[in-house]
Amino acid sequence: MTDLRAGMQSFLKEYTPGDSLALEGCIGLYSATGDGRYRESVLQGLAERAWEDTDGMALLFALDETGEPRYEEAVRALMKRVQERMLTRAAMSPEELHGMMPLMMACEMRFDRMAHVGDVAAQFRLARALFYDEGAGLYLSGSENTLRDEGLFLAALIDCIDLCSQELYEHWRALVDLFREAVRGLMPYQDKSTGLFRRHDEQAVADAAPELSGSALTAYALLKGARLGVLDPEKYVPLARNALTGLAAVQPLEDSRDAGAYMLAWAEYLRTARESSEVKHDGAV
Amino acid sequence: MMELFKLFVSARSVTVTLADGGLYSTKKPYRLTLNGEDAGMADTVVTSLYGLWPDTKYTLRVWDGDKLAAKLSFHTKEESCTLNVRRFGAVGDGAHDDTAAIQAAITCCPKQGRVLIPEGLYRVKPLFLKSHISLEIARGATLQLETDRSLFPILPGMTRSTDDTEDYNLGSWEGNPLDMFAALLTGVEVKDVLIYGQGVADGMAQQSDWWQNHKVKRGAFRGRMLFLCRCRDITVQGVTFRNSPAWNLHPYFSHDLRFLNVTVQAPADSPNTDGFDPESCRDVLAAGVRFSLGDDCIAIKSGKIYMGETYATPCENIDIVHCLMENGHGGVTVGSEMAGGVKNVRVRECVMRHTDRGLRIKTRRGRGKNGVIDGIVFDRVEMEQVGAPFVVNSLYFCDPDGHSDYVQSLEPQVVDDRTPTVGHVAFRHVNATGVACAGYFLGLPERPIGKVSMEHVNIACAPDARPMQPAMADCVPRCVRKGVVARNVAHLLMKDVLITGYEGEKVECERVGCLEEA
Repeated sequence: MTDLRAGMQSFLKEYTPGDSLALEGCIGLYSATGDGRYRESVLQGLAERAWEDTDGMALLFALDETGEPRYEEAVRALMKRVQERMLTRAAMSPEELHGMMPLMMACEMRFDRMAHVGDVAAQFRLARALFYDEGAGLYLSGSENTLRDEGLFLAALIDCIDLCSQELYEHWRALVDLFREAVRGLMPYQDKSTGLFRRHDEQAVADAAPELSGSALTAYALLKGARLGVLDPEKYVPLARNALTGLAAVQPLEDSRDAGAYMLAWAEYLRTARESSEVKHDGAV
Repeated sequence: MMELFKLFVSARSVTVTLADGGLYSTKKPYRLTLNGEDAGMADTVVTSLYGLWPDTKYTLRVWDGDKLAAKLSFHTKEESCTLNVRRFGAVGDGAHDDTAAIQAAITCCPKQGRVLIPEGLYRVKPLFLKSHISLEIARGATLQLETDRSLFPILPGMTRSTDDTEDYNLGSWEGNPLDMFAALLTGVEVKDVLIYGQGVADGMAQQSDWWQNHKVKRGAFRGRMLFLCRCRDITVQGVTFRNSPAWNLHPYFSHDLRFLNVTVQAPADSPNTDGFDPESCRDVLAAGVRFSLGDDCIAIKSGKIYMGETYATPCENIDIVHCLMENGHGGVTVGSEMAGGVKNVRVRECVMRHTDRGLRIKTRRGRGKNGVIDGIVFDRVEMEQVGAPFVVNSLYFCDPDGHSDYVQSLEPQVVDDRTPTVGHVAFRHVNATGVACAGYFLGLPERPIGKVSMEHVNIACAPDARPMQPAMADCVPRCVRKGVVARNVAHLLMKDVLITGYEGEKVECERVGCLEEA
């Protein structure tokens, strides 16, 4: 863990989050550490670029932190666009699911009297129907970055599970069952020696590089799933920690596109460590 | 002329039915003797006697003045031993925490043994039952439940099996498997248990603690007074339950249950203090139970859609006889959580007084195809000052999406796996006075109520009744001096139905397939 922590801290000193995932990573780190610099990174990041449809959670964060009406207008407008998109019944990519469904769920809980929570669950079921390969146990969306997509899918699910009221149990449970199935399917692809997850079509290729952002997103989802009680922590926290250890060994962080995934995973690890007293035993944190 | 029946005998108590034509109260008080000795007076049709001796033959005589009205012989059951909780260290002074001592006595009690809680004030946190024992809360004994929820164990809603293939369900809240605080008395998979006596179980809830912000989950959802999870052959006799944090008596996925001469009380403004909520249970008898509460007196349930689809366990074969329901929202309610179905419910010879509604069926789109309500019968029921004696509401606006277009639409929706069914409900020999709305039957346009039978029914609308919304649905206005309203009902039978004091139509029908009047 020492290398990852040092690497993250030095990286973040100069880093302004440039994409939605990185914005969410900063939000996660702010939540985990209380360090106001991450909050400022989000607000600055939003100020310095045009907002995208996957920025919803960052906009919601900015609204909660500042109360500025422009953020609420942006969130409501985005919510409307996403609702219209969902009405087309067209499948969403993992990037879109991750960027939009947690926002939809948050807005349902906050603004919309939870009338469309079932639609969020239906969107994930649609993705399963189209992309899930029962034989491989993976979501194969057809893109090259298979494991990153799988990681985004898991992250989207666990974020929605976190936001969904359990009193809408049938919808909450539908998301949990999809999440657990996806996790079970992915576990055989974790390399026992490195802790990292490998792309499904590279199992037989000895020197193939594992996917870093996919491993980071998976670690995030496993840790958050354990924290929320939908995964067995005794089983899955060690597996997630192995993945993080593997990521630390692969430093430095060269592809900035991976930054958000790393930050999300690291933030979730910090939360897990704080809540389970692992801090004292790990030493490096 | 009277008939005397034995309902239940234990080692130390008996419950009998004094059938003299009365409903809850007997037509007159009677003097009782047991083996020739005075045993007090009886004025309720279902009457229990305590303080008997195990393995003893008794002859009960019922006297109408000096005349012998009825006689019955019975033999009490055997008992292995009695464990007095005082010997386990319980103090009973209202200050000392007696939880550990009483729990020790329960845990150590041998088969066929009796745990005795004698007179005193016992402060306790949740207690857990064990099979094959009796727990006596004696006259003058009160169990007082702690109100600091941070001291309560939580029953997790669902715990995943280690091999990740199944769930282990413990907790429940409003039809979903959610974390809840343990009840004052909790039984998990116990059998052959008797909880009895003339003592009191007091939840000590008030507006300043459990009843404050009652919809908010703080740590877990509010516990009950008695929670029986997957139990069987359980009898509760005579105890008074009051001031529960939430529902009072909640048997859950249990069967072969008897609730005899129990009293259940809560203030009229206390939230969700339902009296008796059998959920996905079968073969249940409630006899001589008296309710006075802040919510439904009896609410028969079988979960929301996840539980209904996954476990498909109806609540069925429920007999409610000689009971008195006072001051609740509903006398006998079915639903709204009924996704596993509710079948064969017989409400017989009961009195309802000052309840908002008499029979109340609540359901809605989204409860699912296993949510079938059928075979609900009211027979010989008196309702005094009951606003709406009969209500069937298929558009009940419950749950976070209760006011959504899907739930409230008056247009036919697609019949699919989410559509519930209401079959046959029947009311016979029912008298109701002080009524605002004689009957409100609201079915789904895409799946009407199967049949509503009203036979030998007298309903008197009160000139000074308060306007009320008989069915809680967006399309139902407040009304007063209203006859019967039927919307989306396949067959409405009204035979010898007298309604007085109403204004407008005696029967308003909209999309009623067959109206049969005689």
